[in-house]
Amino acid sequence: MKTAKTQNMLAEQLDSWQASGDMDTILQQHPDAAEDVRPLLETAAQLSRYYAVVPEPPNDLRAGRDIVLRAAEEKRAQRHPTSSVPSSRKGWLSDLRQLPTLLRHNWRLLGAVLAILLLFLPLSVPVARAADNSIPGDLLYPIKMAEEDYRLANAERPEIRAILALTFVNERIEEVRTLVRNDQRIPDTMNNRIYQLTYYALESTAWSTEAVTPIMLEYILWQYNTYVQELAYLKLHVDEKHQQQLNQVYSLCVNQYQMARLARNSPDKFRAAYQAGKPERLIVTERGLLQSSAGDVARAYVAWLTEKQSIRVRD
Amino acid sequence: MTSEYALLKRAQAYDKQAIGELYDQYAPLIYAYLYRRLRDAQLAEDLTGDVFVRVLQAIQSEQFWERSFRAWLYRIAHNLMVDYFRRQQDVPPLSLDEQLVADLASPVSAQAEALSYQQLRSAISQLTLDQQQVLALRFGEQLLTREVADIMGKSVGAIEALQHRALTKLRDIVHGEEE
Repeated sequence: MKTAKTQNMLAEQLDSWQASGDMDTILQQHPDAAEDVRPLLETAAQLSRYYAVVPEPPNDLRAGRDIVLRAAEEKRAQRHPTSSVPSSRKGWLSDLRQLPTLLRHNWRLLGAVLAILLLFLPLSVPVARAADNSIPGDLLYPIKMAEEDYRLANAERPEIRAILALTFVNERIEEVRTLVRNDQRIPDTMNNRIYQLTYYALESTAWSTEAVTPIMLEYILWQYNTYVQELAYLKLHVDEKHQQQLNQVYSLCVNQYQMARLARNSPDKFRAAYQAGKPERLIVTERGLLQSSAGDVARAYVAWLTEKQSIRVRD
Repeated sequence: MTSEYALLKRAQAYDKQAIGELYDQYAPLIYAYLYRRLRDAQLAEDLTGDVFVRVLQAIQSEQFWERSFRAWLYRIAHNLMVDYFRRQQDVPPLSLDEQLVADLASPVSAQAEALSYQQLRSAISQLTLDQQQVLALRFGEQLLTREVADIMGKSVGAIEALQHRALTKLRDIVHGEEE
């Protein structure tokens, strides 16, 4: 009774039994396995009887309904980010999603949209590819951001969204590097975007399955460890003006590293906090860890720097 | 566009009427599931409210519910229950289930049946949380294997194996206690 075939047969017999309720007829169809299967079907039948008794809810579920409706009212009143998609560019994307419904009822609009598509379609692919290499301040940069948002909003599973979000953080770090190299200013929006993407990665991880969450948290931690080290290295090689700008991105990445570390150390609390939309709960409950993790970042950085630059560090 | 999808889109905008309709439709289902897992009506009712509060917090991310809103609700309910157990650091007390006794017909057979349920309850508590979940979904909620697979984020083959292990272990525990 240990092979996949037997497990599959049991599953089929359970389905048949649940549909017909006739155990004997089902067992007669597989007489050779009946001896093994019968006790399991009987256990399943006993379980069904056990589970069938459910008392009426003590308060008729009214209190919960009131709480939920009150929460909905509060949410409606706040009504800030309408989705987890980073808010800065979400608006027109969500409007775009309504377009098929609008077009179904408006033939003139459909004609206009088709005309626009025919006009611009030959250009769209090269434009999107050109946008891939754009940096903040470029004309095509908003297209790059919109494409990222679209991919995030349409990722099939939470963990895929998390990985995508981290890939885009990586892209932002690369852009920071390019901006510094070109002696251009790092825009203030860079921090917001990195913060939003990180929150997105952590939130998606919190909603992935329990088994996947710790693996994803390890991955996020490792990624941020790398970002912190890269930015620290970059800071050493830029002028004072860029150093100040880099400090902001660096501090943000250290904070996100610490958050990921807290999450990795307490995945259950992390899931509860992020699923509730209250990440601050994780910080409050794990303050001690937060302090120690700052030291770890510093140690990791010194270790990395030592290796990178062959600097001798005194014990 | 299904009527449920339309309802969910309205709920995304925190439309109270839509949220109320979703609650009325699904809260009894989730309450029953939580009761089957916890055997505590008051706690099951409280957590049912919490499930829907969490729904509100995450309903904007359509990817969580676009495949199956019901499956998503079961997932949230399971996660909340696991969080609850971890906060409590122990399992609920195994007292005689008075409701079971009250619901059964003859006093003598009722007592015998309640004791056998008590034994079953104790045996279920010795299974892993995954095993408990698969049994509750299959034989409490009467869901198909593929529906359970969707809720638990596992393959159908994995659910079949889990179900087989859970039933075998449960039977061994009950049988061992009887001997």
